[in-house]
Amino acid sequence: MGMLTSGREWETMKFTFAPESRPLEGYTIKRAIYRGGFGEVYYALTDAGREVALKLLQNNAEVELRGVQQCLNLSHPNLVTIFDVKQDRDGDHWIVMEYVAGETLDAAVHRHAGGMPMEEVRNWLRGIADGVGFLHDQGIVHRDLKPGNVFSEAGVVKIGDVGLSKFITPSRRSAQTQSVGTVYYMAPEVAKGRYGREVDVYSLGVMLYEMITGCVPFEGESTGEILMKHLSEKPDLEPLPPRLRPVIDRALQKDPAKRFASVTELHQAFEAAVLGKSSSVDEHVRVVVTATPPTDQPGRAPVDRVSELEQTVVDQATVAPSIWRPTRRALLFILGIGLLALVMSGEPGEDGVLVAWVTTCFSYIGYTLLRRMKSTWAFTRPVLAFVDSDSQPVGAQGGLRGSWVIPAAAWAFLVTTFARADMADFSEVAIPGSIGMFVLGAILHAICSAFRTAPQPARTADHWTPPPARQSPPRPIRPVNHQRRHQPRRTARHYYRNRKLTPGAFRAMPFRTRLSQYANSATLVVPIIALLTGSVELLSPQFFASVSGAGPGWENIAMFASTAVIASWVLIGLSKWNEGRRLDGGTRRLLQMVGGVAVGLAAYGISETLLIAPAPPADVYAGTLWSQPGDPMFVSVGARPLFVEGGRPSLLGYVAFFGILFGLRRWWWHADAFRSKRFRIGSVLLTVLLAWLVSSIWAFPSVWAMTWAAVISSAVQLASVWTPPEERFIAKEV
Amino acid sequence: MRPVVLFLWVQSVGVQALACSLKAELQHSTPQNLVSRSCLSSVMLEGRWRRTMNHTLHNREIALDQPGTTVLLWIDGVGCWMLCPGESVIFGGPVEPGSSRPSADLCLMANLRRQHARIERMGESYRWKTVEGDVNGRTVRGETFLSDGDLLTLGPNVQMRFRQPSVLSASAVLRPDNRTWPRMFAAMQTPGSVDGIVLMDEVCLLGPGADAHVPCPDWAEQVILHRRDEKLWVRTPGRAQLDSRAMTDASPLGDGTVVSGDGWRFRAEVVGD
Repeated sequence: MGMLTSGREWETMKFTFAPESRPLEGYTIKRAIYRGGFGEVYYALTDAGREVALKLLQNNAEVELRGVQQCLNLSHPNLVTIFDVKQDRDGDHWIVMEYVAGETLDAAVHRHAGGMPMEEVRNWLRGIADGVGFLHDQGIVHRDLKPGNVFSEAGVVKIGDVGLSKFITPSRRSAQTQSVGTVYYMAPEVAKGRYGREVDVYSLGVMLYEMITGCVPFEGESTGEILMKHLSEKPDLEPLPPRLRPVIDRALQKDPAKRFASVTELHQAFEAAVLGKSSSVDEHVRVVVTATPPTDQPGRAPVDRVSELEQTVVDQATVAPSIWRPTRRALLFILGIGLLALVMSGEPGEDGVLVAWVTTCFSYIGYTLLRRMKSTWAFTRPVLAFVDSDSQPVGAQGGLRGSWVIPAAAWAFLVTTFARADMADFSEVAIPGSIGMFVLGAILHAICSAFRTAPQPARTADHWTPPPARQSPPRPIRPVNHQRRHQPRRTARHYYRNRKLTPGAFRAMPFRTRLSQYANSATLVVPIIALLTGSVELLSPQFFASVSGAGPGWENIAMFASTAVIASWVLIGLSKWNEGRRLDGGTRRLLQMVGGVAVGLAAYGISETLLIAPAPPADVYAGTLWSQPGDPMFVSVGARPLFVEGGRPSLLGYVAFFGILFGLRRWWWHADAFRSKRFRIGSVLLTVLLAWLVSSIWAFPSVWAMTWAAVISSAVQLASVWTPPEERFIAKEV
Repeated sequence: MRPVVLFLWVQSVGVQALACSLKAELQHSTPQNLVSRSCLSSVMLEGRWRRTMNHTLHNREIALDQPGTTVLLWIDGVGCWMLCPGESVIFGGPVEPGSSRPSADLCLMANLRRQHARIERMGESYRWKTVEGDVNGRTVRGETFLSDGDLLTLGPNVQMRFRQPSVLSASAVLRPDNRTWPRMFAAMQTPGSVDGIVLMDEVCLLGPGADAHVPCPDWAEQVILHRRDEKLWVRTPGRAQLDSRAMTDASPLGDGTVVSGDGWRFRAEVVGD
């Protein structure tokens, strides 16, 4: 029989025949393919070199032989051809059939973890329906349809194991009423012993369910449990797209008379549901299809319908553009509001301009926040639809990056040319004024948009994702079948190397890696800042001069250095925590702003503890270039001052400076492992410029601000982990 | 010294200690990595080999130094893999009737020229040259170097994925992408279905891990084929049988040898001149 000789202490070989065995005349077994419910399948070559698959029937040989004999001379492009049935010297029967080199539907389903794309499902369905339809036309029921039996070779679907098909006899009662095959796909009436070709419709329905959602409809720990569910439990159709639910529901009816009469009907109904055409197939199907909520508009092409179908299911998944970049329309809208405010304030002079500037800022912030919150209020939806329908963000086409800065800067220029720092009463005028403007504008546009067509919804990927609750893979059933059922998926890790990976690359990092990299960087920060502080001290001894004037003020140095260290730790920590995650810039900046507030608090705490002033008296407060020195734009926020007497910044001053500086700059790019260069002077200079801008708008000692910015920026870059481009790789889940 | 500076210093020392301990802990590899790496390293670095007592004498040992030698691995439950130990492989179309020798090392049943493309190993990297085809969708003129994950197209229909799954070896793997690829043959065989091609440098790994050249997902252990003295040796971590005789650790493979172990089996066959 070809079994290995005795003397083995370990597990028996899985397959009976060894390579190069010749149980049949004219065929040489080269290797085993798998062991199935009826026997083992081997890959063999004829003496001339023709590839065949040889299936050894070990159990219940008589049953299969009867079935196979009728299928011997069937030929169809979607069926695995059976060439011959032969008997070897020991009396075992072998089926000689076509060898199909390709993956099974089983493997394809498991390749797509959450369900296959609809196009692929339709391809498989078309092949299976044609093949099984042909079988039914010949009067043969397959009875053992399952994904392990369906192959795809070069795009052609082939159904195998046709040898199990049973003649439809008039009596419809078979003497051999064994359960065959995997029970996941078995129709309920098979267990009772009376069945016809509707069992194939049921199996196909289960297969469709699994193709679309990734899981079978009925799972269980044992054969009995699954059979019970087939008999009594309704399938959960909720993970399916709404249009397909009635089709699958009808295919999975317990009563065979209520199902589709043939696989061809099932195929047609499925296609009709997917494409949205109400074809004249079936009264039941047509009625139910039109009952689903209409989502589209008349006159759409079928292709649009397909993606709309997927869109209706996924309301949550939207493409998130960078929320910091308003669209062109939104930008005009915001500036328009500012202009309105200017006009309506009635004061064309400095105060009016100031009001307009503040109103613009608030509108911009409000717009950004609304986009972030995904328009929960009814009246904002049409507004956002209107402004976002021109979906090109400003600067997206390779224009100036972040060009929202330009109109903002223009306004700042105008304002600072004319304005003075008396802002005591702006809280009474500008805040209610700008909110009112925005509300008015929103209502106006809500009215306008009622007369416009709704804009295109954002296209999601073709792949439709079910709600996450249904993601568990089916559990293996051990006692039923010798056929290998899928184990819990072992995800293989492939490493993808690319020199061109940027900080934007999405990668998964385990928490420990993040922690260790952070710890590394954090320890490096301290000596680096010590070094930088020392060099500042060397370059300009008066910088840290203490009040007493004798020698360097250690309190000043300690204050500067410790604040810089804490700021760097916070920045590196935030960057490392979010490295490689899919976060948009707005969220990151928000987190950074919160970090900045914390740093500001800490800085204030340190300065109070050490009782120092970070600057000699107030002439260090450089104003803007165009106004008098000592005259920043805002010296107080509302009623609270940004600095106290003696020139020290107040708590609010610290918080405002650090919060805004952290929230504006793209700090995570400084600290990412995949940044283009380890240290870029340009980044430092830009940070310094930004710090100067911030300190000239909201009162803060400018020189200290700029030095802090330079030191923090340099330290973060030098201390952060940097991977040279050759060594960059990301692990991809396969 | 001011207490502030002292405080800062203590803080930095503490953080440094924490980092060191974390780093030490993270340097421990998982046991499986250790095993496979030590197996591999012992293959690469060990000076003396332990000879096997039950060295099979039936099959002629596979010699890798002869040009044009290709080894077919018939692996149960996995497929038929072609092992090309040479430095370069030329792909071409089917043999014209009437010619006695194929003009290419690997003939594919596809619409390709007689010598359509060539892949060559140069040290650690591979050079690809094709008459008509592209790499990752972009046309190649002349030669190009390949990197892991590249999609090679020959002619209109044939697509292969180039991979170097193991960091410790320069061996490369060519596999069909998603669809099947044409039947192929080397020397004067009949065309047959091949599940993958391994361009073997020193080592070819068969097993379940992601670094295996021949992926065998259901295997419990990894089997190593390596080149030694221009012969093909097999090395298994557990007990194995070589042609029904027990085998310890490592043994040279002969033409037609069947190697079997706990839950796996394969046969090596030489095709060539």
